[in-house]
Parts: sequence; structure tokens; C-alpha cells
Amino acid sequence: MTTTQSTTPPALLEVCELSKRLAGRQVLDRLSFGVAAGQAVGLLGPNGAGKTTCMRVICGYLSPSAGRVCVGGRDVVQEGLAARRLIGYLPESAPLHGELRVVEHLAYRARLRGLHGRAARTEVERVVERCGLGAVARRVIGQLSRGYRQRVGLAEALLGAPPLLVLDEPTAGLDPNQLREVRELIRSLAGTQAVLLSSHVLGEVEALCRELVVLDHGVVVAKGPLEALSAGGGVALWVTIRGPLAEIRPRLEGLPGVAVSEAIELPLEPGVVRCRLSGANDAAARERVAGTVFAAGWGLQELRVERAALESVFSQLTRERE
Amino acid sequence: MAWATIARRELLAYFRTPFGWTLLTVFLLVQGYSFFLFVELMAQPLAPHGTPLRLFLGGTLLYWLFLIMVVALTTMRLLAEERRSGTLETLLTAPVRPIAIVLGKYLAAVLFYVALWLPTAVYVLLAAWLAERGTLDWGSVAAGYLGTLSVGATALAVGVLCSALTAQPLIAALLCAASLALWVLLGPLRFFVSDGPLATLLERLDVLAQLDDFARGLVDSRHLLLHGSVIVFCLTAAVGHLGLRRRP
Repeated sequence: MTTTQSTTPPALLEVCELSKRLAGRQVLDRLSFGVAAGQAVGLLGPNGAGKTTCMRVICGYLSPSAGRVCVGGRDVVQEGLAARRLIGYLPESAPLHGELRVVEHLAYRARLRGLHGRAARTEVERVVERCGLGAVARRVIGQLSRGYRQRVGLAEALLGAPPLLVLDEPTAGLDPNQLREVRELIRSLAGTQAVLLSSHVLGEVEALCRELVVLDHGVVVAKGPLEALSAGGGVALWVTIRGPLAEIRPRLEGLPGVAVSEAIELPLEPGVVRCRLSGANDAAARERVAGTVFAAGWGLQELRVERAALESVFSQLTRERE
Repeated sequence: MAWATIARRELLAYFRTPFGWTLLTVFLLVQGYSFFLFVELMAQPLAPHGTPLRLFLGGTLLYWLFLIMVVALTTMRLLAEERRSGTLETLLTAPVRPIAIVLGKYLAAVLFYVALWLPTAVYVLLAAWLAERGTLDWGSVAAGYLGTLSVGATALAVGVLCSALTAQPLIAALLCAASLALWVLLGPLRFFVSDGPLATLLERLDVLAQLDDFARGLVDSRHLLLHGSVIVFCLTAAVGHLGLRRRP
């Protein structure tokens, strides 16, 4: 497992050695991670990695087969009611009562969270405004678009301002405009409420979270800050040189710790070669490359460092277990 | 109180959809027509002994067919629909106990059942107005309605349990109808067994005889106790089933 250091305050959500067996299959296997107050953490993994099961255990819908989950110091099994008061949950498909109007649905859910009378009305007004539902507040939920339904589900999770929001694939099935709106809404929550967000879409997690937990086949394969995980995937060095391809390739391959993974002469610029070097992870290696080019009398047109995208890290981590 | 919130929402749901109003209309039409038939029948010179109200409150097969249909339709979506649509997940992850969910839904079903029967009091008042002064036994009328409420509440608890067991409302309705039909047919079985503990047990469970007792004005606490026990058992089982997912 890849673990990178992060300087986070004590966790609001603590998942310790969590395991879950469903229908004889080990869906989660000794998961451990935490989410601090106000922090946005992405639970990333391919389909079937166990993200939804993990979230269902955290929210008290499923019980753990082994291990422990605490929210605000409350065990979700032993003190389920108290723990669930601290969680706002949006399941994957945002299930809602289609026959109710938006405000009726939210008022019903607010009452279930212990808010009544004026307090419930004020809270419903707050989440309606926060989620941009004012225009559809009196509409029947069954007649709303997917994007609005998702926002109603999010508004429901926000009721009572719980310190932890658990959002399971919150933007699944949305069109690009809806996706942008929902992302902006979630981003605006960061800092005030902790968010645990699951997704199999890397861009989603990169856009919304600074901390990641990568899950595969029910196991945490990596966790830590986004930048640190991306860096773990290594760097590539792109060099564009004016000079003969036949000489450039062997000279660069002769440098210690540097491998030429690609070298081509640009078709539209004869005599100009572009190389992709791997292994040149530190500044000293890059200086050796530049020195070799100058010493040979070639022209250095470009020297560019390309960090590995999270995508490649993700593929690497999840492929290792297959 | 979460159970009251859930009961209120469920009760409103009955009256917010065409389903509730259609059921209420059909129920009152059929009950009105059957009451008219019973009054006509009992007015005949060769009519059997009894009163139209005794036939109306459980004395015919029509009553049982309709009770089974109404209970199955009333309860089928209560929990099965929540499970099917996924809203059960948000309900169980809200700070609400499963017992509050089951009690709330059950209470709503009982109140809707009462709302179905309440307008039939007009038939009784009409019968009282048409009958000769002093011939209507109000005690029997009250006991008859108590019996209908007691049996109905028991049947609704069976319906809630069936709805908790599946994610398909139609399967819940079929399961409920089959269970209630079995309950109704259990009593007559005693005629096919020789005397003994089994015959006594079947006699005690005979819901047809129980309801006839109520319709005659006889309120037997044993009947109420039996119905209460079935209600507690079914609702406890439904709560237990909802909580199953929470077990390791």
C-alpha cells in the first residue's frame, strides 16, 4: 500500500480495520483511514472496489463484520443514533419521494432529524437557497430533471448542518452543466463540513478533494494528499534537441539512471529530435542531460518535466492487485 | 417523535395519490350496495335469524374478500416501495430507529383503514332511522365495529410484515393476501379434525367465529388478546427484519 504523510488534525471520521463480508464474499478487508473536520477526502476506486459498501457501513445502513467506525467519537454500531445525527448521506442514485414537492420532502426529512416548526422551516429555506433550488421548491420531485433531483438529495444531506457529509458518486449521470454546478456546490462546502466523496472518475476527485483514499478489491491500496500520490507515479522528461538522431539516442542512454523510452525525429522539422526520458526524477539527472546536449554541440530547444497524472498512478495501483 | 412524522407522511401519501381515493370510493360503493342487499334480504319473510348489521360486519364471504383485498392494497407499498425505490436507505441512515419506521407506517395504515370504515356509520344511522324505535342494539353495533377494527388492525400488521420482507409491492400484496386467506380458512378446518388439542387450538384461532361474537355484541377479551399478540409479533418481526442489515 502507498501511504503518504499528511498533516491533518484528529479525525472526525475514524475507520479502523473495517471488514465486511456480504453473501460469502469479502467486500471490505481491514480498511483504515480517517477524515478530519472540514476536510474533503475522495474515496477512489474502480467499479466493485467496495466504495458504496464502505459508505453504507459508515452511515449505519450495514454493520461491519469486523473493525470499528466512529463518527465524532461515537461508534456507528454501539451509538448508532448519536453517530447518524452527525452524518448527512447522499446515496448513489439520490432516492427521493417522487410524489412530494421539494419543500415537502425536505420538511419531512428535517422533522426526522429532530427539527420542528419554525426551526424546520428555516433550515429548509437555508438548504433550498444553498443548493439553488428556489426555482423548483414548489415542484413535484418526480417531474424534476436528474440534476435537480441530485441537488435535492444533496440538500437533504445538508439538513441540520451535520459535520460529516458522505456523498456516494454525487455527480453520476449528470450532464456537463449539471456536473459543474454540483461540483461548485460541493466545493463551497469544504472547510465548513467534512466531506467523504466516492467516485470512480478521477477528474471528479481531483477537482474536489485534496486527500485521497484509493480502494481496490476492498483493500486500501493508497492514501494521502493528492499531490503526494501523483508524485509517487514518477516523472517523465521531454527533451527537444537539434541534432542527429543516430547519435543522440546512444549518448543519452549512456547517462547513469536515465532511460530513453521514446526518440523520434519530428516529421515537419528535419534534424530536430524529440525524446522522452524516464528515470530523470531529480534535478541532477536533468542537469546531466542538458550538459550532454551542450557538450555535443547540439541545440537544446526544449526541456520539460511532466509529472505522471493521477490516472496513471490509479491504473498502476489498481492493476497491481489483478 | 419520528414515528408520528412518518405516520403523518404516510397518511398524507394515501390521500395525495389517486390510489387512496379510488380505494375509498370503491370500498364505499361496494359496502353501500352490500348493506342495501342485506337490509333487503333480512326484510324477507323467510330471512335467516339475525340482523343486517351482523351480516354487514363479518357475516359473509364478501366481507372477508374485501378485507383481504383492502389490507393487501393498503400495506403492500409501505416498506416494499421504500426498499424498491432506495428511500429505505436514507430512512435507515437518518437518526431514526427501525421501530419508529414500522410503528409510523403501521399507524398510518390503521388510520386509513378507520377512514375507510368511518363513512359506513351513515348506513347504520340510516338503518336506525328506518327501524322501529328501540329495535337497534347500539351495544352490538359498537362491538361489531370494535371487532372490525381489531381484526383489521391484526390483518394490517400481517401486511406490514409482508411489505418488510420484499422489495416488490406486488409480491408483498400476494404474500399478505395468501396469509390472511389462510387465517380465515384456519377455523373451518376444525370440522375436519377429531376433538383434541388441535381442534381446540383451531377453534381459538377461528377468526370467523371471533368476528361473529363481536357482531352479536359479545366482546371477548381473549379475542382482543390474541389479535394484540399477533400485532406485536408481526411488528416486532418487521422491525427485526429491517435491522437485519445492521447485524455483522
